[in-house]
Parts: sequence; C-alpha cells; structure tokens
Amino acid sequence: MNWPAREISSLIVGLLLGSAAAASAAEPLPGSVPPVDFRREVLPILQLHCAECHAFGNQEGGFRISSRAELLAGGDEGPAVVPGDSQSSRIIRLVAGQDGDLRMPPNGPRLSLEEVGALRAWIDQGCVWPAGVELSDPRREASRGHWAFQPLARPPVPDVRTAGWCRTPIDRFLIERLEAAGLEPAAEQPARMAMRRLHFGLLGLPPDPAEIDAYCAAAAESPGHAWEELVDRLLESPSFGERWGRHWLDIAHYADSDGMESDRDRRFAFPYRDFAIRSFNSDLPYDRFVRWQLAGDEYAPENAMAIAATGFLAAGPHEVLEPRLLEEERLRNRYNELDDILSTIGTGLLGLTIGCARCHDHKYDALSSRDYYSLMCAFHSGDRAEVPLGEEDEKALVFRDGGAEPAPTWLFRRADFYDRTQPVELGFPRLLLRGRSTHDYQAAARSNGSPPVASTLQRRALAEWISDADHGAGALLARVIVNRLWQHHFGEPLVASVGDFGVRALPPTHPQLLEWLADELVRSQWSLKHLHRLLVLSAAYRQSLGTAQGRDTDPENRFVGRVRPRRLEAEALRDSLLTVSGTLNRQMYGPAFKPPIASDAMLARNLKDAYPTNIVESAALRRRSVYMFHKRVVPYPLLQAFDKPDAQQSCGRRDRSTVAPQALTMLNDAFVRTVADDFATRLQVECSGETAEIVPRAFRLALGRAPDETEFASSLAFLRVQARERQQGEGTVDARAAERLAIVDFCQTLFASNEFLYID
Amino acid sequence: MHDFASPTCRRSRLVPNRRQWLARAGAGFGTVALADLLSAKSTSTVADESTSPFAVRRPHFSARARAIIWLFMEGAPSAVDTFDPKPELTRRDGQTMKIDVFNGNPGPLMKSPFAFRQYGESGTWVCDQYPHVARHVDQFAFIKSLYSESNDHVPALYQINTGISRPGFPSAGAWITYGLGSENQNLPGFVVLGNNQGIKGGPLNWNSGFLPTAYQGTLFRSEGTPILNLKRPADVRREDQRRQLDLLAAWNAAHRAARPGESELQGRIEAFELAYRMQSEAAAVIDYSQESAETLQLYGLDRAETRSYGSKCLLARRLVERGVRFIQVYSDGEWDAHSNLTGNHKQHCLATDVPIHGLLTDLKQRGLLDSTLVIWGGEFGRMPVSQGKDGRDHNPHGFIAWMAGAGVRGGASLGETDEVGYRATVDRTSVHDLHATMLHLMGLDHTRLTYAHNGRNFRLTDVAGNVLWPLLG
Repeated sequence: MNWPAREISSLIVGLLLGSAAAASAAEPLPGSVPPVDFRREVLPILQLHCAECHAFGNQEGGFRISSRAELLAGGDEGPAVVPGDSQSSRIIRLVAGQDGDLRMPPNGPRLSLEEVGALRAWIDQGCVWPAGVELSDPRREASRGHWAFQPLARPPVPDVRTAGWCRTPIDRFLIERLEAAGLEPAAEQPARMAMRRLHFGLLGLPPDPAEIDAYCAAAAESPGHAWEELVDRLLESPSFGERWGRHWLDIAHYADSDGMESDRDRRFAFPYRDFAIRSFNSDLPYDRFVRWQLAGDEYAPENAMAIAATGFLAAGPHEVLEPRLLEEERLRNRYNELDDILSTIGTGLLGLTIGCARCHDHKYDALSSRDYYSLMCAFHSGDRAEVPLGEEDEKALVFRDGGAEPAPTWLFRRADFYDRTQPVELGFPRLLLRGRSTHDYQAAARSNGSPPVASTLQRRALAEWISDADHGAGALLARVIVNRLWQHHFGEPLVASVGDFGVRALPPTHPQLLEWLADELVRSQWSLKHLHRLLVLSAAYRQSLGTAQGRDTDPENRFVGRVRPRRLEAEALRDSLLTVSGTLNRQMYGPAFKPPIASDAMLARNLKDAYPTNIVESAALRRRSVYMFHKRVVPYPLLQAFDKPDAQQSCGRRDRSTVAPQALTMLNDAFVRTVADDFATRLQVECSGETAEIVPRAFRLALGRAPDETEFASSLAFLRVQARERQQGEGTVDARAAERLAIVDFCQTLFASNEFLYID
Repeated sequence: MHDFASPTCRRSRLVPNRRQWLARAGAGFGTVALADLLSAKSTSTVADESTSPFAVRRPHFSARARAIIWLFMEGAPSAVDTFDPKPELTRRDGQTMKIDVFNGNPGPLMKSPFAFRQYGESGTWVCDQYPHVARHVDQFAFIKSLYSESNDHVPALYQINTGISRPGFPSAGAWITYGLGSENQNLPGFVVLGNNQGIKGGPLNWNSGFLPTAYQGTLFRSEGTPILNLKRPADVRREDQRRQLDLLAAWNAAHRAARPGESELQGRIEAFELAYRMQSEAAAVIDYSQESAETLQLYGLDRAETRSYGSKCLLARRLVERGVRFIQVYSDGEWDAHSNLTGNHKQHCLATDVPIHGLLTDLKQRGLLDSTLVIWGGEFGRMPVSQGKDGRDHNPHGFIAWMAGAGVRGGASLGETDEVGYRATVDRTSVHDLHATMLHLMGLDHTRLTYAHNGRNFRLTDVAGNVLWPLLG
C-alpha cells in the first residue's frame, strides 16, 4: 500500500464502527486519496478471493466479476456494485461481514481491512478498470507449465558410460539415472526364467516345458537373436490379444451385465470384448483404436468392428428405469451414466480426473464445470442400443446418437439437472487445444469423408481432437497409454497415478523416457506392438532380481535396476491352473461362458436375470478367463478373491491384496481342487504312474523348472506319507485311491505355492 | 493416505502387539487353535505387524465405541408407523396432498394402522408392534430428519452404505476397518450378516471400492459354512491339509529366503496359516452350544418367527466379543410395503422385536453396550400418502434411524419431519452426518480419514458431514 497511514486508519475506523457517521467521516474528500491502482491493489483481491466462484465459467449467485460490465451487472440478488458509492454497494457489506449471516468469501481467508479499504476506495473513485487488464484463470495458470499438457518433445537419447549394457534407447535413459544414483543394473536373468516371464507378460500363460527347453537351446547358440525371435513369435500369438485385451477391459470397466438392482444380462456385450482382443492382435493403431471406441459408428458405419468398438461407451453400469417412474429419478440415473462415460474417458484415456467438475470448479482441476458440460454434449444426444452386427442374428451393445440434431445441453450448476439456464455447446478444454478450435474439429468431422449417418458427429469431433497429437489431446493420450504399457511390463508405472496426470500428480520417475516413448509411439503410427517390442527387447526388461545392494539402495525399484517378483492377476492365475492341468480350452471369441458359482456366493436379490444354479463343470467352461461372463453383482469368487476389479468404475491399476480368503480359495475352492485332480491325472498319464518321474514333471509344468534335491526329497516324502496316512484313521481309502489322492494333494500344494503365483 | 498422526491424540488407546492379539485370538478356542497359533509363530518369521492390513491402528482421538452393530432394515421402514406418529396425518387421513412419488399415482394421505403409546422416562412414542424394543427407548437417540438423494432402493442403499448413490465406492464398514484395523486377526474385521434372499444391489453394499480389497465386508452365515470356502473339500481331512500346509511352508520358506525384501511373499505365507486357523475359529463363532437356554430364548431362537433374526443378533454379539469391528445385520426380507403396509410392517416388527430386545439386553448385561454402537434404520423411508389401497411408496425426503450404546445420549431426539411426515424440515440430517457421527464414535475424524484416489483425497463423507453432537452423551 502506498496510501498515507492516516487515510488507511480512517477507513478502518469507518469499517469497524460500521455507522453512517463513521463512514461519512471516512469518506475521502476529492483529491485527498490518491487514485487506486486497479492492477496492483484491486485485481489481486478479485483474483484471490472472488474468482474461484465468480469467474471462468462459474457464476455463483448469477454474479460474475471478469470485467467491469459484469461487476456492474450484478447477480441474482440485484446490483452489487454502485460506482462512486461504496456505501450503497452490497459487495462491501458482504466482504466486511456486515450483511447478516452471509459473508464473502464464504470459506477461506477473509479480506483484510486494508483490502476492504482498497475495494471501497476503488468503487468510490468510479470503478476504473483499465483496458487490457484481465483476471488470470487460476486453472490455466496452474496448468500452463504442467508437463503433461505440453506438446510432445523428442528428448535426445543420453550418452552414457555403460553403453555396452544397452540394447534399446530405453536402456540409455534408465542407465543414465542409475549411474547418477551410483547404482548398477542387475545381472541378466537366466534364459529359462526370462523366457517364462516374457511368456506370462505377453500372453498371460505359462510356457510349455518343451518351449522353454527349445528357447534355452536357441539362446545358448545365439542369445540376442533367440530373444528377438521369441518376442516376435509371442507378439504374433492370438493369446497376446487375450492378455492385453483383458488389461484394456479394466480401463473400459467391461462386464456382461448391467449391475445395479436388475443386473440384466448383456447377451451382446461380448462383441466389444472381441473388438479389444482383435485390435491388440492386429495391432490396430492406438489412435484409431481410441477413435473407434468413441465414434466408430460415425467413422465406419459399415465396419462391424468399428460399430462394436463403441461398446466402450456402453460398458458401464446401467439401470433401466421405466418411463412410469419418477422423472427426477430417471434424470439422475441418466446423468450418472453420462458422468460415468466422461469419467472413464477422463481417467482411462487422458489421465484427467474430471468427475469433480460435474458439481463445481476447483482451481487445481484441469477442467472447469463448463469444460465438463461442453464435453458432455458429445454424448448427450446418444444412448446405449443393441444393433445388428454383420450377418445372421449377431448383435452388439453399442452407443448410438438419436439423430443428426444435437440435443440441447446446459451447464448444470452443482449438478442440478433441472438448472437449465446456461446452454452449452460441444467444446474441448482450452488447455488441450493448440492452434485449433472445437469448431475446426467439428468441421473436420463433417467434411472428412464422413458417411451419411443419423448422428451428430460430435463424438467424431471429440475423437479427432483426442487423438490429435499436434493440436489436441493426442500427446496426453500417448503419454497415458505408454505409462500403462510400462506398468504392465515393469510392474510399476513411470507415473504412479496412472489415471491422473493432472497438476497434483507426482511427476514421472523418468520424465525424458516417458516423453521419448510417447513420441516414439506417435511416430510409429501409434503401433502398440512396436512399443511392446521396444520394452521387452530392452536390457532392463531382462534383468534378474539383483543383489542385496540394489535392494537396499532402492527398495521400491524406482530406478528399475532389477526386476521384482510379479503376482499373477486373477485371470492369469486361473488360466495358468487350466494350462498346467492340461485342460485349457483355447476357443476364442463369442458369447461368454458362465462357470458354476456356489449358491453361498450369490448375495443379491431381485435380479432380472438370476445367475444359474445348475451349471455343471465341462470342457466348454475351461476357456480363458477373459471369456468368462462377468455378472456385476454376482462376481466369480476365485477372481474376486484375487482382486479382479468389480467393473463399477474404470480401473487402471489393480489392487494386490494378500489376505486369508485367497488362501482359503487355494485350499478349499471346488474349482481349484478339481483342476488339481486334473493335473494329477495328466501326470499319471504322462509319467505312467512312476512317482519318481511325477515330481520333476510336475515342477516343470507348474514352475518351469526341475526341483532341486531338497524339493525332490520333500516331495517324495510327502507323497509317501500322505498316501500312507490317507489309509489311516477316519475316512480312509484303499491304497490305490490313497496314492492318487496324495498326488492330487501334491498338485494342489504346487498350485498354492508362492512360486506358482509370483513370477520372477 | 492415512492421517493418523493426530496432534490432538493425547489418550491413545492401548494398541495390542502381535503377541497379545495372538494370545487373544487363541483364548477360549481350545488348545488346538492355540497350538496352531504357536506353531505358526515358531515356523515362520513374524512379519512387521504394520504390513497386515488388519493391524490395529490408533484412532484420531479417544474412541467411545470399539464396534458397531448396524441393524439394517432393508427395504425402508416407515417412520410414521414405527417411532414417529403424526396426529396431523391421522386427522387428515383420506385428504389429498400433492406429492411426486417414485411409482406414480399417489393416493391420499393415509394414517398409520398401528396404535402408539409412550414409553420410558423419555416418553418416546412407539407403535404397538414393537413392545420389546419399546422397553429400551430411554437408551435410544433418534434421528427423525434423515434425507437422502434417490427414490430408488439400490442407489439409496449404496448411499447409506457408502455415502454416494452411485455404485463402486467404499462402504462405511470398509472405511472403519481401513482406519482402525481389526482386533481379531483370525476373523474378518467387517462382517455382513445377510439373508437367504440376498440384498438388493448385492456385494457393492459392503464393497471396499477404491480402498484395498482387504477391507471389503465378508458375508457370514449363522448356519452351515459361515464363510465361503471355509469348508475343506470332501476328500481332504484336517490332518491331510495340515501336511499340505507343512510342505507348502517348507517350499515357501526357501522361496522367500532367496527373495529378501519382498514382504508380500511373507504376507502370503502368513495368510495360509491364518486361513487354517480361520477354519476353526469361524466355525467356533457359529457354535452356539455353549450359550445357555436362557440366552437363546432371550434372542428368540426358540420361536420360528424370530429365530432367523435372533440368530444373527446373537452372532453379532459373539463377533463383537471376538473383536470384530463392524457388523451389519440385514433384516430377512424387505420392509418395502408398496401394498399391505399393515401386514408387511407387522411381520418385520415381529421378526426383529424380540431379537433386538435380546441383543440390547445381552450387550448391556455383558458390559458390551458401553463400547458398542447399535444403529437401527433402513435406506430411506415411506410416504405419508398411500400407494394402491394400503401401501406406501418410497420416501427419501424424510426418514428415521436410532442409535444406542457407546457414546449415545439416551432419550435424545434430533430433527423433525413436517406435520404429516413427508419431508425433513427441522435439523435436516444427511447420510453424511450419520456417517460422520459413526466415525466420530469410533475415534475417527471424518475429515481426516482420507484415501488418495484419482487425484483426490476421498472421504466417506465426501465434502460434507457434521457430527450429530446433540445425540452424543
């Protein structure tokens, strides 16, 4: 403040007394108070105390303060500022707390007396707002320099001392940080273990012992070449799409039923699941993969895969509320579902948490309420629909617009869907627009060889923007998917919050590496397989568990100087049980299968399609878990126990709990016991019943290696004692049956072992 | 993440160490269980107890309650027909009132079919269908002004259980177990006592949402196999399984030794031993053979109409005795009286009256009521107008619950609905307020029990919630 102290104190006295006399005593005589410097003295007050609720798309109480005209226009309660008369200006009473219970700002620090004085003087002097002076959008300010919202850069690949270790550019980025931290990468993992890890990583299945042997032989001849060949072979396997399609289904929160109270079966959800699997197998460019999921029907209305892709937008929970039911309830349901779509796109594709903006603006969130509802326009004209797909009676659950005319959309303040005073149009967040506008994308969506469809093409405009790495959100889109691939291959992501790349997220552990990979993805025409190759061909990927020194220095493995044992996901666990027992049914695609579920585990009432209680185990139910029917409110206990997500919200990172119910599952679950029995049968057949052969064969099938001497001895002892004891006491069986049960018990124990669940 | 380092926490509760809880877990379950515990301890390196998701954690401040029993009246009981009679409703019986209802076609105002009488020193009104519950009213603190968002059961169930009417958020029981851990490591910390028909909306009502899955509620049965997969396969005897576990322990120990620093591997080794112990302990919890005939009768186990709910109430007490934190006891069938309100509410009052009386009496005489919060209520309420001839439609605008036990000021009452019982008008109370109060009684500050998820610190109470101080003693 550069006011004379006397002037300030007279203002303060006036405010404190709050009486007309005191106020008039404080009234400055013309010329006695220097002109208020708006930019230095008033603008910061508006910025700090008022802008969050009364600017940049927010207008609490209908009042905005972004310009002099807005300020003078007042709000729902009438004028707030009377130029030249602070005494009659309600804003002064509010900020000074002289207006009953209502006080501004309602939360947060209040205006100091000096600030109130400045505001007063400014009003009394006629509210001079110099041209060109503007409030700055706090959201924009906070995000302007944020790394995730920048255009893609191509960082130079570092020169490093340990260049001999490096196999791909990834290694150079990693070793640079390791060297700086005084760490060394771990030694290379033995061929047998590395092969097994890659097999699980790319296919989600254990390799056959013969495949391991073949690889080890080839690797002994020519290590580098053998690894490349193996990588290529596995990337071409159809199981690859099943594995990585399953990862994607977590993002899409795909399920085969509606959830909620009725939990109706979705008989035609599976074409979307098959689209995901096929896309990963055929290496559909990731930008197109995303575009089709948002607007495949608007891009390629004749292409069954493109149509099915919009199942992404229909994947979330859903309740059918009949028209006779209360309108308010139906609207709430509808906007909850649209929110689910926006949230899934936000966290799943862009790493933006946009759900909060549904109700209010927050200065740290990347998106405002206006952004939220402007994005919602893209989906407001559409809904779920079952449409014919290809020939015969094939159908798919998809998302469809109701027609070519966009439905009117409003900014619902505080998510109040009856508040329809502020119309909004389709618009993309300014933060993620560079040199192009929403209109440009809409024009592109209309002109760019668009087929005639009864659709608004708003989703297509959105899809164009989201995948545009130069001018739209494509750079962010690339960073987010690169991080996900890294997470699945290396165990920990580069950006810890995989669904949140906003200003409050932790920065990447290796920013340059993330940037280089994202750029590489875009340069490779968005080829995910190219990226997979880069990652698994790296020396970093082929490291071993490392030394005590590495573990002590970097227990969390932030520097990626080794690998850590990885727990199989729920589906990979079940698929491995099937593979090892020799009963995996490799049939791909098509309607989902329903496995038997104990009636004890069915805990919901009033389902429109109850889960059957009479299912009998059969070969048709031994398919990979990605084809299992996911009934939202009747989760399959084995998968649920091992942290399969519940498909209620998009899930980018699974929980990895270690709890007793998992152990109970491995010990007592009927399916686990049954596959242990099948494994025993397989061993007895393959080893002609020779116990001494059964043990090593079992180890090789289940763990990919032969038992050591101790294990061999303990296993034989177990089989002997178990067979003997099972002929003693209550519930005994004859010698032959006892021997067989001992093998089953042994197989089940292998299934339960930590080495079976944790891959080195 | 956790914010347990409370500067205001002066009287921190005694936190039992691992040995203490092992001993406690073993106490009273016979020598077999105890021997198992000791052998488990001797054969494996004991992991840092803080690695267990259920390790006891300090509350933010001194707790009034160490357990909650939530008597959940699924389907929504009517306030004006149970504990909140409205003379004006009786007077205006048959008159029309403009109300939008969930199923459309509202009828006229309908008086309660039940007679009411005042009970206790508090003079609390209770309907004639709840004569046993009525004896305890001086211990109740009523909330007569609850409201929620949705007119539909499942969103309302999700909201009263998780604070949010959409599916997929962590339930109150999950939050509390996350905040405090559990006092018994051999049983789940959050137990749900369901019913044979299932609950609308299913397991999402006791979901862990984005919290670690360890905190989700476990459905527990009072008969047969209490927990899923607790029973061994038909062809595996206990000793057969013990030898499997011994072989497993040997393999896992060697595997673990070769991978130092991987505490998860140790956690899984312990999980198997815990699972083995749970088989005996969980079975013991539902073995009522040591309960006296008087006790069984007190809970109504001697009568067909009260046996089911009585058995669950007794089980709830036995779980509280064993250190389980949070127990939800669902009613059998729904109070969802779209038609024949009289028949529906009569039946549900009858099924729960004696069991609730038994539970409150038993908790009190065992000295457990001082440390146990008991809550009664449903997901919303019912309309003062009729549906069809003699039913009542859903009403989220005003409903009732009561609390009793730990930290609760008996005889208190908060809030009112309007004169016919349609809409909460005085001291309107949100579900968040109820949750904030539950957490408070458990020693948790609802604004500080947070979990970072998707760029935000989430709370059970979202961005709202006020502790209901007038109801606390």
